Amino acid sequence: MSQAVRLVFLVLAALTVAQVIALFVFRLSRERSERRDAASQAALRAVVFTALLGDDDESQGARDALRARTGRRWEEFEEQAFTMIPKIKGDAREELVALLLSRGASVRAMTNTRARSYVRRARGAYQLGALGQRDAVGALVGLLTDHSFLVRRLATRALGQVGDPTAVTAMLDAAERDPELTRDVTVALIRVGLACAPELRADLDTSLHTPGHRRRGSIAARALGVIGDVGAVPVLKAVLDDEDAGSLRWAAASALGEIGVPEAVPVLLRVLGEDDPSLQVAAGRALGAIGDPVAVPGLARALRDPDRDHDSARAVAGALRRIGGEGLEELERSDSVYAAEALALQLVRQGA
Amino acid sequence: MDVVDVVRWALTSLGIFFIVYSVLINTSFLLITVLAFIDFSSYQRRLDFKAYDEAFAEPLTPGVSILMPAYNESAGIVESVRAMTALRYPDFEVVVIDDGSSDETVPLMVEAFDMVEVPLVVETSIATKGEVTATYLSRQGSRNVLLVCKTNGGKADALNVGINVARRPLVCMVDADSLLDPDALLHVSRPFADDPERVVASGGVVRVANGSQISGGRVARVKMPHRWLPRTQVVEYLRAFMIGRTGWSRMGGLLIISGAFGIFRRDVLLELGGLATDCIGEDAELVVRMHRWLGDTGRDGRVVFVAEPVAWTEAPESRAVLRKQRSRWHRGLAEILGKHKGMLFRKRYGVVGMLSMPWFVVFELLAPFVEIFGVVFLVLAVALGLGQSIGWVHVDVLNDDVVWYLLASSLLYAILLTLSALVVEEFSFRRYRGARDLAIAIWAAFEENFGYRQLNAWWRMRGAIAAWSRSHPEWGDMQRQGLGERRP
Repeated sequence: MSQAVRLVFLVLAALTVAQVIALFVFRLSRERSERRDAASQAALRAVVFTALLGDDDESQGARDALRARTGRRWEEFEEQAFTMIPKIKGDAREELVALLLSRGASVRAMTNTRARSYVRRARGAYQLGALGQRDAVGALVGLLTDHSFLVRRLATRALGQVGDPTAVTAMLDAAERDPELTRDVTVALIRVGLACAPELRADLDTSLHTPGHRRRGSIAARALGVIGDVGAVPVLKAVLDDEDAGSLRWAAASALGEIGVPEAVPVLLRVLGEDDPSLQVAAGRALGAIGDPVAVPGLARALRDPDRDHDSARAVAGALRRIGGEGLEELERSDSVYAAEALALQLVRQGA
Repeated sequence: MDVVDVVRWALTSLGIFFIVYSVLINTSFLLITVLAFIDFSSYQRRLDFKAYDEAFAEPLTPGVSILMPAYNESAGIVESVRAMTALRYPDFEVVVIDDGSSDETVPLMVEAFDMVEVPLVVETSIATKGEVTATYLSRQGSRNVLLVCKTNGGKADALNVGINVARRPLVCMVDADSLLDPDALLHVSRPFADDPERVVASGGVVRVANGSQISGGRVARVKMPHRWLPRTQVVEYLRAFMIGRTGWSRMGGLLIISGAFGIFRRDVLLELGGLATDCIGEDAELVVRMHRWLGDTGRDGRVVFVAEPVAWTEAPESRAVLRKQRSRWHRGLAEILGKHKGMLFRKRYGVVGMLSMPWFVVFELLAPFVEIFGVVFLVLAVALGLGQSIGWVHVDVLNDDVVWYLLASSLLYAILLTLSALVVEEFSFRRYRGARDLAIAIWAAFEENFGYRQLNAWWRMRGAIAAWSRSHPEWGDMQRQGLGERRP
């Protein structure tokens, strides 16, 4: 065996031994620290719950004990509190946020958003969202163009938690740049709620006339639907009327179904007769969701259409089932296999 | 140059080839491991911010149809389906496709889930061999369990019927004997919601359940198995499936999603015509065909792998069953790579065509051949060395260093690599706990290289040869112990 071979063996053997030792050391030390942390967190959680939910005397005592924490002990509490905030609601949440704000958590979170480490910036965005302070909107909007995807995602979610409608355009811009933020932006807009509806309507209207804005338009339409913005019905109907709007029309049809206004029935029935199967499905489901019997004759005509594809026919039959009454009678009169399926499903739902 | 010189040159060249091959395969895997580590780190950080808890309550989570093909699964089907219905997910249905079972699978399902026959309309977009004879719907809970009875046509055919029947936009294919973690569906469907325009398929990690404590159709306590074959497969799955696929996914070149746990867009499956029924490894073939379709149509689509969601499967405990499984897997790989060889080195297929497929040909398909010939070479070299030392061989035809380098690059380096995979697992998901399980895993990382690897290479080589000679496939049933209530 030459010197070089010995060296190779030595290096590989040393690396092997080092890995084995590292594995044991890491596992044993981490399991020990996990046990320790779990015990201390359980004790801390009990104090926090007492502070938030206990009797007046107990609660005050626990709050004083929490406020008296300093240094590492306060950091432990702050960490714990930030994981609890998204899971609690109402007064308890407000009190926990107030406790954190009283000790400068907002300033520390803002400092985190400017850190060089993307993990710290992400944490900062998360903390600002949990605290829900409107003065954080500027910093969070700035993070929407961060080079780290994690930071962009958490900033988007945080903007939803803060609930300030001034950030709507910035969020839609972010979704336009980054398809992976589609869901986060939609959810954030839904969290902002009706307050952001005017901006969403305006953006949807612009998207309708701007080629290449399909994604942001679809996001706006979906959010308006889930929010249930009745004021958006005219613009959503305008989208459906525009045959060049492509996939935006699917989102608009679904949104009209979610909003549930009967005035959308005529336009939905009209697009139900178009050739796009995805649009037919969205329109059929929307008509079922609205549940207005006025739609029954149109749906019955669609059910008799032999060229309708599987999903579309199923959506039409499902809509008649959801309308009930006249819709069910129409299904009973129909010889369509989809009608038979819908009636059987209705029986199962009724527990028959 | 005399005969001895020629033999010496030939043996040395061969030895150097084996060394270079070993170094390349192990180093490429080391790079994949590093990429996987980076991916796990960012994934873990994402989880720190609890976005997944929020996702459960969000109204935009896409609906999923879980397809469970079943053939004579009366022993565990009810428990498996019950475990599926308990998954944490806002909108899903479980579609059990009975592929013409001759046992009590159907009556047991009907009774356990209070099922009633309903005339569901089955789409015919995907042509199927078997014919649907009845469809049932459960009257229990949220009435989201469907049973489709069909005449026998094989697993791929059953899945195709399931795709036709599915009523949700996403389709999750799960083996009837797989156990899913409660949040598995939530995690693995997340990429579709994050990037609905581009993600077409997503796969989750499959781990070995042998040895673990199983309760109520769930892996309640993860433990390392004690027996040789399953414990070796634990580290093998970790290295090859979890680390390997995560690394490839990070590069954008994920070629395979396991049939035991994969989720797909239904509209894409319909457009592709479902799973191929004429090849082994239909799940892997589907993903390769999906890549091909994306490249051919110029669509910007993604196939992703999510390391956290876990499906647990029972690994073979006997050599006979393992032989069949590995031979079939490799035969499937050979068939798929042969069927789609037109994708090799074509830019339009991106990383898959330019890197993943060539890598799979050189370091997966051909690896067992190199391994077997490498073993023969080593045996010959050792015999020559022994012959020299006892005076039977009087010529020096092989440099000792070549043999030592080969041992270092193929054995020591491989052990190091598997230990690296354990280190990555330790720093990320750490599903196994306690020093004892760690010791078993480390031991398995060593022992895998002495016997198991060589046997595996032999079986895989035969699988590839069978594919090329187009011999009749060895189907056979996968004999399993069953993953019912079990304590380690």
